Amino acid sequence: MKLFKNILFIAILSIPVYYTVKIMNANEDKSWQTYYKSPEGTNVHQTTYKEKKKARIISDSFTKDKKREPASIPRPRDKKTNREVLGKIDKNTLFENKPNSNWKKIYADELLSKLGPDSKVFIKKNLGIIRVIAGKATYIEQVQVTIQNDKDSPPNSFEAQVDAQTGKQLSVWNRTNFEDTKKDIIMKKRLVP
Amino acid sequence: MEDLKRNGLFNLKIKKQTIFMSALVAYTLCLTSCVPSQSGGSSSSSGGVANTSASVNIGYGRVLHDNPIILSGNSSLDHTVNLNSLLKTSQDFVIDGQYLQKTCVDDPHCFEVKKDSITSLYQSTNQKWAFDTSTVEFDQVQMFTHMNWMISKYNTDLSSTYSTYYGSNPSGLSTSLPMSLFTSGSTWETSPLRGYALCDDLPNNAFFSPSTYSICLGFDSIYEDVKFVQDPTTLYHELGHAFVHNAMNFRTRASGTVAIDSNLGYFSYDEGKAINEGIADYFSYYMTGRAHVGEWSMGRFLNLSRPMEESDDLHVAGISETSEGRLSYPTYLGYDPNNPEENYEEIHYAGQIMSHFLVAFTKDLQTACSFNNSYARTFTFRLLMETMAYLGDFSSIGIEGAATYGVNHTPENAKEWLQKNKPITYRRFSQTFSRFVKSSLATDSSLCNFNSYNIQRLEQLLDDYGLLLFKNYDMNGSRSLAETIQNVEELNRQKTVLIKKNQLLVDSRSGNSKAFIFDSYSDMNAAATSLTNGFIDGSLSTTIFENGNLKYNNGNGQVSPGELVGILLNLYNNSNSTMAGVRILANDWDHMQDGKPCNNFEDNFPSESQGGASVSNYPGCAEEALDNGVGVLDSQTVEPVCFFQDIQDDAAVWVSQETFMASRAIEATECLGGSSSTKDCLIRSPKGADVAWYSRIEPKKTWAETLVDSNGENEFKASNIFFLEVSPSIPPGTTVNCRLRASFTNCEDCHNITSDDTGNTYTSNVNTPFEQVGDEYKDYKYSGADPFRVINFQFTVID
Repeated sequence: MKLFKNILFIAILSIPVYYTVKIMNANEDKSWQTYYKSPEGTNVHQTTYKEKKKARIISDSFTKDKKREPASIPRPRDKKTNREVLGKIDKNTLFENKPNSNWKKIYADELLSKLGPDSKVFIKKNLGIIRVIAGKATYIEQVQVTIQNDKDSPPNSFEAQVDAQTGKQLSVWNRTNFEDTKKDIIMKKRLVP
Repeated sequence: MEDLKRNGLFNLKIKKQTIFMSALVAYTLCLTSCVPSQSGGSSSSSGGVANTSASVNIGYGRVLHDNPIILSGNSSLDHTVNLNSLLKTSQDFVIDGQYLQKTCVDDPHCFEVKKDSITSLYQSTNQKWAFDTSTVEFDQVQMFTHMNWMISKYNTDLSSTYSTYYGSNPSGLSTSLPMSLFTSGSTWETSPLRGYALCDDLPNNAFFSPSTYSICLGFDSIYEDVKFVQDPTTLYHELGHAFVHNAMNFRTRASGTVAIDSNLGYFSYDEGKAINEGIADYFSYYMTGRAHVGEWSMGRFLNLSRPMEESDDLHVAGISETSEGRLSYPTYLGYDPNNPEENYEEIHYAGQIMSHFLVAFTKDLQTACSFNNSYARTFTFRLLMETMAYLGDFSSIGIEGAATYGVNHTPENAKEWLQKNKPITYRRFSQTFSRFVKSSLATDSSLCNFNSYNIQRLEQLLDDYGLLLFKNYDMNGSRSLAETIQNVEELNRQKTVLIKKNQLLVDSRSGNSKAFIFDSYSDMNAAATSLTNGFIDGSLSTTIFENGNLKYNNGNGQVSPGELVGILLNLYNNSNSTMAGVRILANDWDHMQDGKPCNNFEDNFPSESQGGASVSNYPGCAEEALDNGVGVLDSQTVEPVCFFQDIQDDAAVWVSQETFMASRAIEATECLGGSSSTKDCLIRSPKGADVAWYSRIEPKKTWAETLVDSNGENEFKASNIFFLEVSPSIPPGTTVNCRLRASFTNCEDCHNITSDDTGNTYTSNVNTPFEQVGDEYKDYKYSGADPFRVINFQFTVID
C-alpha cells in the first residue's frame, strides 16, 4: 500500500512537472512553423499540409524509418541546456547572451519586415548549440528556413544560425541552386555617366 | 612518440576500417550486380514495350536508359513521341520492396523518390515497377533507378579511392579524405536525399537544395509532356551538385567541430558557382561517357543543352581540340553555344570551361596511363573528390593528419575566407586539382598503370584552357613550415595571361563615372527582398525600413541618409588582356589602429596631418591580424571599410565612425545594428552583400562596357554590386571614404609573395617564420592589403 501511495504521489507530481517543461520548451518545437504578416503584426501557426505542398517542405511524417546516426563525431553537450557545445566551456567562460524563448518569433519578424506583404516564412529549428570562441560563449539556434515570396515564384530554402537571445541572423548557407538563373537578375538598366 | 602513438592508433583503426570497407564494397557490388538483363515484356500494339506489371518480375520494372534524343538517334524528336517505344524489352532492377526508398541505417545508399515533396511515397503492393511512360508512377521509377545507379557508382568509386589510402595495402600518399569518412557518416547528409520526379510549379527548371537535401525536376513550360525526369543526364547534373556538396563537407563533417556546411559558390555569380556547374555537368559524363548534357530536357525545346568537348557540333567554328581551339579562360566565360552572338554573365556558361577541361583531362589520362575511358572517368572523380574535400574543409586542416591552419585560415574564419577573402576561383581550383594530380599520379607510377606520369602534360593542358593561373602547387597550403616550393614550369604558360594588379583602376577617363549608385525605391526594395532570401549573413537594419519597405530611398543617384544603396564601382582594365574573376571586397579588414586609418598602404593615404596613422607611431599598422580579429591568436582587430571626415582644430581629418559619433553626439542607440554595433554605426556593408563580382573586364574597358547588350543596357545581379546601409542619423554633407580591396583571378601579383615592392609597409610576422619569396601568401595575409589592390571610394552624403 505504501509503495502504491509513493507511486501515486510521484505520478501526480509528474503531471505538472511534465506540462511545465512542455510549456517552457514550447519554442523549442522542432517542427515547421509558418510566419506571416497581418494588420496585428506577425502571426504564426503550425505549417499546414497545403503550405508544405506549396513551399516544398518535407514532412517527416511521410518519411519511413530512414534516420541514420548523426554524421561526424558526436559533439559534447551542455548538461544544463542539452545543447551541443562547439569549443570548450570552463569556469572562466564568459556567456555573451542567454536563451530567449521568443527568439523564433523575433527572427521571423526580422525577416518579414524586409519582405513583401504576401510573403511567408517557414522556420524549423534543427539544433541548439553553444559556440565558444576565445573564451566567449554564445547561445545559437541553428534553423532551416524556407521563404515563399509570392504565390508564383518557387520557394527558396537555406540554413542559418540565429542568436538565441536577440533572434538576429548570424550566418547563412546552403541556399537552393536553381538551374534557371534568370530570377537572379534584380534590374536591367542603361548606365549614364 | 606522438607519431608512434598516432601510428599505433592508426593501425588499429585500419583493421576496423578494412572490415567495414570490405563489407561496404561487397554490398555495393551486390547492389550494382542487381541491374539485370533479363528478357521479358512484349511489344504493344503502338510499337512500344508493354511496360506493365505482368511483364516484369518482383522488384523489376523498365526505365529509359538514356534520354529520348540519344535512344532514338533523332535530334529532332517530337514532343509527342511514345516513350514506351524507347524502352528496352529487358527488365531493370528497381527495388525489392513496396516503396521507392533505400533504408539507411548507417548505409550510404540513403534516398527516396516521390512525385513531389508532399505526395506520399508511392506504394507498389505487388513490388513490381513497370508503368506506362506517360504516368507519374513511371517518372518516379525512372528517377529512383537512375539515382540508384549513380549513387551506387559514387559509393563504389569513393570506397575504392578510400581503400587506396586506408585499405589493407595503403599507398602512403597524403590525402584529403578523412580516415573516418565512412565510419562518421561523412559521405552523406544525416537525412536521406529526396528526389522529386515532377514538381508542378517548376517549369523549365530544376534544383538541388542542400538545406533540404532534395532534388526537384521540372518540365517544359510549353510541351508539358516533356519532363526533365525523362532525361537522365539532367538528373545526373543535379545529383552531381549533391556529390559536390558532400565532397565539400567530407572533412568538415568528419571533424565534428564545425556546425555549418561549406558551399562551392555563394553568390548569384562567382567562380565557385561556375565551377560547381561545370563539375555537375561532368558528372553526366562520369555516368554516360558522353560529353553532352541535357539533349532532351534542356536542349530540344529550350536550347539550353551544354557540350563538354570542343569537337561537339554545337560549338561555333574555331573551337577545336587543338591548343589554340580549346574553350579557354577567360575568353569563353560568357559563351553560350546555343546563342554564340550573345554575351552573358551566367554560371552555367562560365562552368563550361571547367567541364571541357575535365573531359579533356580524362581523355588525356587514357593516353598517359593506358586507362580505358571508364577508369579514367573514375580516376578523375577521385581527384575531384580530393580537391573538394580539401578546399571545403572548415576545420582548416585540409590534409588528413596535418596540423590546423592549412586551408580556409581558421575554423572561425573559414566561411569568410571561402566566401570572400580567398574564394574558390578557377585559379584556386586548378591549383588544388593539380596538387592532387602531382601527389598521386605523378608520385606513384602504380596509379598510372606503371607509366611515368609527367606533370608537364597537365601544365600544358591547363595552359590550353588558360588555367595555368598559378605559379606553384601550394603543396602545404597555409601551414607555416619549412618546405621546398614546387613550382610550375613557366615555359608552359603560353596561352594563360597574368596581369599586374596595378592595371585595375577606377575609371578616370574624362566624362566617365567612378561609380554608379543605385538608390531608387523600387530597385532597392527588390534588392532588399533578394538579400533577405538567404544572401546576407546578418539582417538589414530596421532603422531604414518602415512597414516592410525602405523608408528613405529617394532615387536621386546619390548616397542619402537612411538609404540602402547599391554601388557599382566602375573599374577599368588598363591592360591589353581580359581580366577575369574580379571581386571587390567591402568587408572588415585590418586597416585601422586605435580609431585612426593606417597610412602604410600603396597610396599612403591619409597623411598624418589628415588623421592617418603611420607605422612609426602606430606599429600595429604594420602587422596583419593573425586570425582576422577573432582574438585567439592575437589581439589585432579588423575594422569596417568606411571611415569619416571630421573637423578637428579647424582641420579636416579622417576618423573612425566611433570617433565621428562622439564628435557629433550621435547616440549608440541610433546605430544601424543597434547599440552594441558602434564600429559600423553609421555606414555599413551588410555581411554577405559586401562583395561584388565581375566575371570579366575586357582590355581598356569597364565591366559595364564589357557586358552591355545591343540595347545599351546592362543586367545586374545582386552579386555585381555591393551594398551600403546609410544611417538616417548621418548629417548631410558628411564625406565618407570606403577603403575597398579588389583582386582578380588572373592576377600576376595578388597571390604570391614577391621580391617586388608591394607599396605596402608590413613587418615580417614572427609567428609565420617560413614565408619565402614565390610561395603563396599565407591565409592571414588576406586580412591585410598585400593580396589586393586597395581602392578608396569617396562620396559625400547628400540629402
